Amino acid sequence: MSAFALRNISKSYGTNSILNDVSIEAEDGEFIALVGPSGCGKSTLLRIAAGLDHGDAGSIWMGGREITAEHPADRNVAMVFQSYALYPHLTAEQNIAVPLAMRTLSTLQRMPLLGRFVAGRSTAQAAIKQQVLATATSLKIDHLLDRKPGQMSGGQRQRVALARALVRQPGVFLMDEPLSNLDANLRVHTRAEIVDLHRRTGVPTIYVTHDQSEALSMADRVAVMMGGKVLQFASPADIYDDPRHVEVAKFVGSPRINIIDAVTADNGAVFFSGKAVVDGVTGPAGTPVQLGIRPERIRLRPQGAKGIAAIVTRLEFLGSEVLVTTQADGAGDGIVIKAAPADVSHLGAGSPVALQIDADACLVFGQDGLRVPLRATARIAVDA
Amino acid sequence: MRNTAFFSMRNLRLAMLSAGALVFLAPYIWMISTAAKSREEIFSSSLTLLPQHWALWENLAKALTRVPMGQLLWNGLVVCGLIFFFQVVIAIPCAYAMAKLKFRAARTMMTLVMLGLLIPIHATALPIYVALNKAGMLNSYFALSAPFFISVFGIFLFLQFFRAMPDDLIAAARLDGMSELAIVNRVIVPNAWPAVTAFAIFSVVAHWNDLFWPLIVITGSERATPPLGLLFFRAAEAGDDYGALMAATLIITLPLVAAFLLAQRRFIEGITLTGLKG
Ligand SMILES: Nc1ncnc2c1ncn2[C@@H]1O[C@H](COP(=O)(O)OP(=O)(O)O)[C@@H](O)[C@H]1O
Ligand SMILES: [Mg+2]
Repeated sequence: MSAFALRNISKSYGTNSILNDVSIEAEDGEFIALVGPSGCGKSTLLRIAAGLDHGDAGSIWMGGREITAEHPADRNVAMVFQSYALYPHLTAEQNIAVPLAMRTLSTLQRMPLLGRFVAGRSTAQAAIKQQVLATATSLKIDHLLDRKPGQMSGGQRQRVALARALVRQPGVFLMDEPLSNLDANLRVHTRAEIVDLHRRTGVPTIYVTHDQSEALSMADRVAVMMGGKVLQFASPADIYDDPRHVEVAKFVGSPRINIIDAVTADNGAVFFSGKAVVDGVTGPAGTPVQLGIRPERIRLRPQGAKGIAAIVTRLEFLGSEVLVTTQADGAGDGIVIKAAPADVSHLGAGSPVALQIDADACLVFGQDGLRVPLRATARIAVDA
Repeated sequence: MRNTAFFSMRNLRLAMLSAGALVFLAPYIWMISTAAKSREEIFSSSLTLLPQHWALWENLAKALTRVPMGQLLWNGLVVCGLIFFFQVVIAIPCAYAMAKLKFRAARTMMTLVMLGLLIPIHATALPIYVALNKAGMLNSYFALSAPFFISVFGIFLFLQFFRAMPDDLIAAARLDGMSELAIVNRVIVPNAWPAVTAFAIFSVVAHWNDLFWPLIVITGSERATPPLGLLFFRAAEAGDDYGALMAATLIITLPLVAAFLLAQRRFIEGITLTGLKG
């Protein structure tokens, strides 16, 4: 039984199918990242999870209880919006206090003037004030409490929005691209803080982002979503090393994975530039496949060494590493290799090299984009 | 050099604007001037803007004593207040529902609002009068204000304003545990001050100055609004005493002018301070 689960959610607007049988679940204390390109339906899914919108099919569960039909306020979910959605007319303190006030004060106690005379209000309010201050202090925004959103920077607003969501103990924490409006420096810093915060509170979290590096670095498990479908839902390492779909392989990792169009030969060997790089692909010979190889899994060797002959076309120095673009027969747009600066110092555009590829670095995808399993006997074939 | 040239674009624009302003202000200025003149001077053949003998106090005194000016102003205040209060109380939730909630009749309602904008009060005046008469409610504050409680213009104005409010803000309020009524009271209204102020100007000006409807439903000076009171004054008391009449006009327009000058400031502040964006 998971702490929070979305099961087989589908949603369409008119004839436009936005979500197609999406299932995601979060265990207690788990941090789930939902990643995908812009417009793939991430926000729509999150709004359905929060109860702000309703799916056409599927169910939502929290701790074994179905909450599909429940009103957003009764679901005990907290959400951080991309636009922060702070109340413009309230100070930071009042903003953070709203979810507590709406839940702990009675309607009478909340009345602007009358409320003052209702029993128990001042004690309840003192408790709220204390809780707000504690949350604000933990997020280091206690000095901003009497400012209005209009008088704060983007980063400060973002923290107030986090505080408003954190101030009560929600059953699940939903975040919709909370860092996308921050500048790059602050973003990396805040990433770590959100993860820390998550560790401390232990509330299961679904974190939506379009940035794959954010997803891989923060989450316990990552759901990669495209065109309204979850293509893979697995640990960051599995997503990266063992993608189930060519689109997942292409979306995750920077620089992008090299994809080479190829055709299988007898005994399931896949040839690249006239050389078999991997064998054991199941299915009949002559099947068109896509060969995926991560840039850091290719090694540069001097010309004439074992491997595939190629010519360097471009070098990009990135500090700790160098991206080498090479051109080989049948490689389409070129092959990108990530190398250590010391290993390529002697190379320039036009240098001839050999590319050494291990069979276990080769990911083979079928025409439908799905990973093609290799037979257990698959082995290194590049020895020519 | 360009800045100091006499016939620069800037000066030309200023001159045109000033001329336009003068055209619009002229009747008002003339009214003030007349209010300060004695009866003999008004009917003398010489036309002067500044009176030779100041008779402003006498005219004001006549205006204040010959008609129940206090009663008229109070009636105007009550009627405008009632109308504005109910218009806002009805139009804001209505506009909120149409702007931010999804329901099947939304399109039909939108069409009805547009149609409502096209129907003038003159078209519905007779049936409403008959109804009020049958109910024995003529000559009352209710008769003066009730036909205007639902303002399609107000709904339309708030609708446009609310559409620009971020959906996320309302979503956040729902997650924070607010009911739809609480959202309207605690999120929409506090952020809608610019629209409320703008609407207040339209509504109060229109109903303070309205003569058509009070003329239909009011017969005595008991419940007369200021413009109707003026009419009675001219017909019964003043005769050809235009100085006193203009002094009375001055008194009843003054609250509006003062209110507008105050509201103008609030209006501009409202727009710049809410910071709804971002
Ligand atoms: N209310 C709506 N009506 C029609 N289409 C919508 C609506 N909301 C979202 N969409 C469409 O659904 C798709 C997914 O949107 P969204 O969930 O916001 O994507 P993401 O958050 O992944 O960028 C988009 O193509 C968008 O145009
Ligand atoms: Mg989105």
